[in-house]
Amino acid sequence: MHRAPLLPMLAAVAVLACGCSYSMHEYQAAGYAPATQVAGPPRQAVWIHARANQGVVLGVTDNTDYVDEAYQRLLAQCPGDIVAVNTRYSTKLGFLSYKNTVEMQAFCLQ
Amino acid sequence: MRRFLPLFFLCFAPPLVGCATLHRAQLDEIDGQHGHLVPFEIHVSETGINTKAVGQIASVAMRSSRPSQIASVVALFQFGPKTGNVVYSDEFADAVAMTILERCPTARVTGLMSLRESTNYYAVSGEYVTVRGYCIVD
Amino acid sequence: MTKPTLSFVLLGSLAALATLTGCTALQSVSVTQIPADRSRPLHAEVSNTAFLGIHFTNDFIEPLTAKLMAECPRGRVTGILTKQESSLYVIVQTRRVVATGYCVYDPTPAQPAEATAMQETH
Repeated sequence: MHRAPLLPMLAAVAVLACGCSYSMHEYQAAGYAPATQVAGPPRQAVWIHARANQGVVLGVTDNTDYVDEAYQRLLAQCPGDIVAVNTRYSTKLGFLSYKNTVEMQAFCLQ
Repeated sequence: MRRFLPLFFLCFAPPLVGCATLHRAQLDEIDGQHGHLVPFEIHVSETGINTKAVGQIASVAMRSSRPSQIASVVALFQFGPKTGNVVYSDEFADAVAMTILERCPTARVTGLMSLRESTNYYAVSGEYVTVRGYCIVD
Repeated sequence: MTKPTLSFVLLGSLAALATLTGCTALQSVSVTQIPADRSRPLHAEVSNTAFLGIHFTNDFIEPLTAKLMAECPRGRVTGILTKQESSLYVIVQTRRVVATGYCVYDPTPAQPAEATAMQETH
């Protein structure tokens, strides 16, 4: 019986296992109504976004502070009302470790 | 022919049925006081892969346990929390934000429902993000 | 008595670390629109712990809204960031929902002065 060569198979495993697999957990689009000042002239809207990550090895971690970090980064970019908040929560999978990511996109009304 | 029957069943029976899963559902405020509501829906997807199932199908087809073993090794490189099957890009839903504004250029949007769904066909799956809402028109 | 091997020591250390630290995962996150006035931040959380992760009820979530409202009397709670977490400590699981936001007080519209209003004379 012909045995498949080991080196090409290991190379195939290495290509497949290059850490380019993700899991998309959640996507939310919300907050399109202005928080304040519904009357008055139209305001300038600027697109802003913020992202924060958390690296985890073997699933051992004791916090989800990266979410608060992304939220604070978004707030820091806009002194006015922040509307149309789109939030994505996903994980980049790896070898016995993974990286959680929260990304927020929104409009800053000035 | 008889030895191909299990493979035939594994490959073709699930796609005829599919398995729909709703992972997350969120609903935003609904404001019907300021005009007529025109519904819209945005649906984006990515193909998900079940590595273990691919290995099992390959093992049945090749009558060898080596593909399953390789799939087990690949699974070590896909460690972490999973919702649905793994995909090869997590940015497929990033365009939804701009697409909402294309559907409602005035940005007067309400009643947004955000869904994370998947339809499982054993070895592969469709991983979906669906956003439904209403444009407020005068 | 045989000396413990390096792999045994590593595994034991890892198990101890996992036990003390736990495995915390984010289950869900949501964000609403955020106001410009962020002078009054709010924070509320509820949690529920169960042996072996067997929970018989989800009623632990009910006080969350009341807690937020209590910090913002007669105001409007907005800019809410909601996180749902789950932490596993070997045989005990803790579910936690954390909500942070801001309390805003919308300005009341000015009342028009009436032409026939009585005025005090000194």
